[in-house]
Amino acid sequence: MRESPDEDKFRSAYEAHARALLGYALRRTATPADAADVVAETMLTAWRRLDVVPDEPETILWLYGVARNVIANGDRTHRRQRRLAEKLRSQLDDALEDPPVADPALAAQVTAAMKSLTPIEHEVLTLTATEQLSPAEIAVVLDMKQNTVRTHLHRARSKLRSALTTDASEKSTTRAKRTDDAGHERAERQSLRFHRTQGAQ
Amino acid sequence: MNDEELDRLVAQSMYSNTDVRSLDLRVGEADLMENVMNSKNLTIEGPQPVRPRPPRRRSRLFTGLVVGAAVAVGGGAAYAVVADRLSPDQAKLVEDVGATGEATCGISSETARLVASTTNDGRTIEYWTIDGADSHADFLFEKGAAFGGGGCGPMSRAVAYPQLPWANYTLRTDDGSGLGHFTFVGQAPDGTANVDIVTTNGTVNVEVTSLDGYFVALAELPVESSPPPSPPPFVDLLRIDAYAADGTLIGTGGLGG
Repeated sequence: MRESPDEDKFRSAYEAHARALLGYALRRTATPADAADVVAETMLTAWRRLDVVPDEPETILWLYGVARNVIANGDRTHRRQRRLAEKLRSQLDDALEDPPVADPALAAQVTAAMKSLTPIEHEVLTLTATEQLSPAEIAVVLDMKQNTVRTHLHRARSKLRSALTTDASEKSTTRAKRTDDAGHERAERQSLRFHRTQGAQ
Repeated sequence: MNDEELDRLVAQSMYSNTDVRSLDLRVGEADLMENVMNSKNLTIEGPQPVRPRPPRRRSRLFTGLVVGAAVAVGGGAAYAVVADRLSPDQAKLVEDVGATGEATCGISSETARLVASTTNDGRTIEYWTIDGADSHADFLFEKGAAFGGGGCGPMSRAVAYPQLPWANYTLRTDDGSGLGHFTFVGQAPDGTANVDIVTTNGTVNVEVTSLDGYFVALAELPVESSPPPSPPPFVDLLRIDAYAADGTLIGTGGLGG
């Protein structure tokens, strides 16, 4: 049966960008299952609002923007209730058994250092480093001016350099001070939920 | 360390797109795409009541009355429908809240104003305000559904909320998963692009799009809960930070109302 133009457009967008979107979500959610649900919710929004989805090459930027809002909303249980991504969740759980990064110690160090960034600095740097977007593209995703993006990026890199340097010099002290305090645990989980970039569960 | 080296370090600390592309997810992805395209007939759980409850620190927002969930369907046809948005049942609830409870607020549904809304999982929660010379009220309603509630106070909004930004929250539900689902409402000063609502259990970031700085958001926070009859879980709101679009901190406030 011949598909409608809408279905064609959606299938094209899905096939071209679903995997990049999954990567984006995996870097910003606490679990692979959450990431699958974010992809599902984002693509559902795209399907229902196909008339406003921009043509290429801006499609992926629009999808990133929607995914960002989906994650910010944080209503994980309702996303799960849709049951759109059950098979994808299951496959992801099986496929991502290995540690998500090659060097967990380094990843932990960088993740800790990135906590010194504001949420927007964190996002701008992540979009630059992992999604490999230009400031102009990030400006579209975040709906802000290019110059503002550049400012955030500059600040983010400066802070991260500083934090990594400090972390290296104080590593032994920091280690000694770590505790299993419940408050620390909560803070850690929350950080993963909203600003998470590393995949450690 | 130059910019490229730093970016590479950041990228190496996360899932890479190369790793993600190499995964065999064809079955799951195809299933998801079909599910999404068939979602016009998707059946999801029916609307649940939005149940405003007073936070641990009692708020003037809800001193007038804390309203239960269900508004009787079919009644209240005599009440005004505001701007074709507030349903007769919602208007009746507004009038009931204004006329009963610990204080009579003297509010009218005819002056209700929709100031912000949020959509989640196909459900839209609307934040309505009513303002008089010596009264104010705040209501949350689910659009198109007969569920909602709110409260009022016998003082002007400027008296009730002397400082911006402010935020308040209502406990919506707890599914026993260790996560609480909260509805946050509030108002931020002019020029605010987003706010960070800092609670004992985490920080919720909300974009502010209303011209007057009002916002409403659904959020999920980790909470420690016990089975009934224990009281529902609470979070304490520590502060709210308002940021401009360029990330500048505009102001800091606390629990409002």
